[in-house]
Amino acid sequence: MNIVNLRGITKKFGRELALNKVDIAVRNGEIFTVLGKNGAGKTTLIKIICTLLLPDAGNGSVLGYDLMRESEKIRANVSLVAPTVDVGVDPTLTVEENLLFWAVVYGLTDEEARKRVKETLEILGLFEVRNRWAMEISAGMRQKLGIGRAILVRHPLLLLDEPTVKLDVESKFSLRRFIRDIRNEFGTTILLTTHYFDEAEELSDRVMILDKGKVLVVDSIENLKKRISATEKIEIHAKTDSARAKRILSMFSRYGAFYEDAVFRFTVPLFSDAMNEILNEFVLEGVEILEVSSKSPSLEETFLTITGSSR
Amino acid sequence: MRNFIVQLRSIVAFAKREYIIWTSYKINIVTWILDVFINSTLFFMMSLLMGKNTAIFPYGNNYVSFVVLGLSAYYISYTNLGDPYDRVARIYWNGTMDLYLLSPLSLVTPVIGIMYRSVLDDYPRVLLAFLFGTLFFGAVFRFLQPFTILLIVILLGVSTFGIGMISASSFFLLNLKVGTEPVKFIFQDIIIALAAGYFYPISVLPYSLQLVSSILPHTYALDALRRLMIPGGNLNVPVLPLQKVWHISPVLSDVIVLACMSVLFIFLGFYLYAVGVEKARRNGTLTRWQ
Repeated sequence: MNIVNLRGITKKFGRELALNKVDIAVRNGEIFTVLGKNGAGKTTLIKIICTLLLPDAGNGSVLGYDLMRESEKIRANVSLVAPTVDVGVDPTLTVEENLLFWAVVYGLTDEEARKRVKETLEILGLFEVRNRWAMEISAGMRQKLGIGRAILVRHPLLLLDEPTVKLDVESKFSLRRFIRDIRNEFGTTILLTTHYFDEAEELSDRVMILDKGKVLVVDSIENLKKRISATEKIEIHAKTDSARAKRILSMFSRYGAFYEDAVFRFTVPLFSDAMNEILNEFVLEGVEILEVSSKSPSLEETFLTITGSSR
Repeated sequence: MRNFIVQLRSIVAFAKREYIIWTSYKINIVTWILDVFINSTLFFMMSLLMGKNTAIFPYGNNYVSFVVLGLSAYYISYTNLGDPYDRVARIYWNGTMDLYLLSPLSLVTPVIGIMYRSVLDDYPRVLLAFLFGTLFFGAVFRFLQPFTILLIVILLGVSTFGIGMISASSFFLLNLKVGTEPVKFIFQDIIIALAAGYFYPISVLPYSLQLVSSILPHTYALDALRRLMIPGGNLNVPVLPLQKVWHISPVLSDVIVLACMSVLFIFLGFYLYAVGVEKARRNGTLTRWQ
């Protein structure tokens, strides 16, 4: 069953087209990442999913509720962590007081609230600092506290908009592990947006690449890499003269052959015999090969290729 | 029913939270005690100049008592009318607006809840004004018809909060995120400042301004409270333009008008706020994070 199922979502701000006929289907229990550069439309999409923003066109359902007609039900059943200053954390309350406040706002009884807050503090690793003011803890801890607020109630859908954007490397790593744990522990469906490729690669079951409001591709990381990387890059460090180099370049122009600083570069079809073909030619030409390496594209390169930003 | 309880419990949680935050700024307490004391002193000095001015006659003859009630209405109005816009701005700018919207709370519950900060800040000033006025400056009071007095105070609170919500709705309706908010400016800083009769009876105003004052709940609340609470206050002499054409007890006419204004302003305020939020949902200005 799809937790989010939207079709043809279009949103304009003035003359600017923020989303252009976007279709999105997020499956129950998966971590789904919307990847895109700044201004790609990621936040606009997440706002529409949680109904804080109305689309100009398109329809569909979130959690089985109609996007346009049952927006209040959707809002009451999704959790959101937005990249705001303190993600709903009041700096002058203690860590525990912050969570207790939100527990009541989310409609938990006093007993449930105390139990859930204690559980959440333990899951977050914040139990030791529960009596400290939120202003005294690190930015990473505050971000965790923001996510803790969002998981106080076990909503089936958690929306994370750029959750690690302001964090240092260590906090990012810890938060990513935490996000995975939430999904594994509670079966929560998580939809996150990011412009960090490694984050998408590390966390996601599936990725949607969004560029200038258009969906370029939706697939698993593995398939995405395979699909785009129907090519791989080969680098051959070699000793040769310019005449031989020119001959090799013209022979393999179909592989985007390029020569610079004693390095030949080729882009060849993946799983093809191109590598052997090229190496044979080097041997026939009497070129001395010093080193050979091949590289599948990272998700980042894939992304750049898809969005047309590749050099 | 469960939903109603969730709203109530949330309002209590807001009150508790705002209390914790407010008491963390200890200097607040000192500043507002000083503020009220200085205000009371100023008006005591003015009362010495005024002596027994006959203009306040229907409201007894104690100008300090007259002003203490004016100050009290001012503090309530300043909070209820002036602060909803600022409080909505606060939850918008600190990024919690969207979180409240993604919760079981009704649209206005967070606004009511967050208003506790203003209530904590301003309402004790009413008690201090009474205390200083009575202890140091010779104000005296009586409490005729205490339930009517309580009802008038509640109606003043509700009606001014209704205007406050109209002002708050402009945050979304007019997309006013910074600068002067026009509803608050026109009501609080112009009409109320001139015509509410905080510090003088409206009978001293030109007739045109007296008519303007007729659209303010303050006018009716202060008229009734001064008649009922200041010794020597007259319950029968008409003062306000409406009382001169409507031949019923002035206090009763005040209560009726106040009740109508309360219903009108509170519904209009909530309605316009909801319309504003819906407009902001369409044009993408509902939340700060982009």
